[in-house]
Amino acid sequence: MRLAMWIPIAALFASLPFLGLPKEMLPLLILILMFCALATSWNILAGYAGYISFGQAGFFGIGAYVTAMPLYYQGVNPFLMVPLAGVASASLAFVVGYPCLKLRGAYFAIVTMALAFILQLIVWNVPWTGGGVGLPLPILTASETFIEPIVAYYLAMLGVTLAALIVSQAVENSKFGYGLIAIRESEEVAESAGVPTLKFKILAFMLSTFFAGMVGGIWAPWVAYVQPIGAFPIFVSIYSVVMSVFGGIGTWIGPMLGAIIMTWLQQYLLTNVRIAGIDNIIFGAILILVVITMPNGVIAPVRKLVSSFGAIVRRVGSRKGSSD
Amino acid sequence: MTDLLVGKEVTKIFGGVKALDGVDFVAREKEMLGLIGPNGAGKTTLFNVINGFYPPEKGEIVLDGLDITGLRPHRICNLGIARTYQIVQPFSSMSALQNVQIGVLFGRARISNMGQAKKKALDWLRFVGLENQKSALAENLGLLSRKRLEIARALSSEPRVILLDEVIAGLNPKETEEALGLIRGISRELGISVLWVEHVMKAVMALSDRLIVLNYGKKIAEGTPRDIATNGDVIEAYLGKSYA
Repeated sequence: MRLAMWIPIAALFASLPFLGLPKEMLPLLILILMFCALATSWNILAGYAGYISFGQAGFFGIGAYVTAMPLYYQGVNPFLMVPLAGVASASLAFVVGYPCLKLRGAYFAIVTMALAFILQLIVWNVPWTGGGVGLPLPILTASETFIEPIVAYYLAMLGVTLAALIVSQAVENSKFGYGLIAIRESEEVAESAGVPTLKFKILAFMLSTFFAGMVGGIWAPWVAYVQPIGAFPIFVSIYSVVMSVFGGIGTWIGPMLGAIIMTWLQQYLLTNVRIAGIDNIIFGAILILVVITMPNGVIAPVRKLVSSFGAIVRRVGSRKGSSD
Repeated sequence: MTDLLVGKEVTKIFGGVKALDGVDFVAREKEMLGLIGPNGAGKTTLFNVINGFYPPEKGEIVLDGLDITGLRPHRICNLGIARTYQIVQPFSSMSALQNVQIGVLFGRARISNMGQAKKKALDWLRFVGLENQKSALAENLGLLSRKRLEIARALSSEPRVILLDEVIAGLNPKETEEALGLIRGISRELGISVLWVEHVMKAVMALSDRLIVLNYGKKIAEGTPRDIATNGDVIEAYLGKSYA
């Protein structure tokens, strides 16, 4: 029944490009969706289970190369490879999850960050990935994507983002999600209360990286160029954290909210305030303010407002009911 | 009464220290088995070994005929051993109800339906007398309430054996009475075997069916409270040689 609420939302956003939305808006929307998916999926592990990863960039990069290389060498349609990009990232998470998830707190953050750098270095030094020069990808034409390519990228990114949101929402209210939250609160007690902590952590890590891989997989053909620095962008790791913290970590809606506001703000600043690095300066200031004044993210006061508004509505409603 | 939880020659070594040295024990069905001993005797270590946190170096733990030695703690919980901690450790930012839901969802009962789990959890909160605080966050509860909550969470996994680690430590006399009433209920009403560590002798002596006494990782005595109170070794361990 929760799924039903997503159908109109999906329909609305999917129809936007056909309802006369200016095509120039699509790149911004794709970027917003991209960070929505990255922050939302990051939050599945970090927000619920409490394992703060700084490795989203690594899994994003794997996804990027999984679609880029077949496209470059064989001309394989990248959209076909997107699910595989997710699977590749999740598989790596499965392999590294066992050793990495034994570490907690800052140690886990550091080891995941190192993982992203290691992957970047591997790609840099393996010849068939294009090495440091990278691979220039052919620009897709409408005949290959069936609709205008930019619309295709938008729809693909929308699909992945919605999937990430639906999964995150489902997790939050599920047995699995409760187990993850118990792990965040106290892993030892969770284990002794019957939660299979290791299995759950690895599963959450895989879910989290699955979407990051798919996002990377769509991103690569969109920008039509993969190269180690560009495909393993440290800012992808950092923004996943920052946007989720800004919006509200540990809720499915918070990271989405953070991604929408901060991506839009960043693009606004970059186009209107022509000072190099202004976005990072402002992001830093905002983050400090949010952490001090709203440690649970901007979603917390919004939720409070909504629930108190709901209480008022109920009170007014019941008063009306009693006077009748 | 039949034997439910049996430990044979359980040995746990930390570095050069034998925290448990060939401890044999038997917890029978529906029994209240007290575990006492001076500080550092190995009581909590024994809990950690039974519970699966420390695999023992030697010996085995058998639950109703099934060897559970070396299994992971969550498996052991699934098979029917629940525990509480000496220093209460609720899931702080979860509500009381959610805390207990964890036990219902992941314990021996393994209920997967969230609505059903909520109802069950509410029943357990009622059993420990916390139903009025079901929406309160665990971190905002008082000490006694947190202890009740921890017991509710342990019970909600529908264990066959429950390990209680110093439940009444830190409680005032009135709270102690209430907590003891609850513990008695676990054994008498629910028919769960209670293995409990407690330093308040009056309570352990009055409630336990049998007692096991540990000292320096070794079992030095076992028997009814009356036997233990007059046992020379036990008096020596607690009070010194000149009193024995």
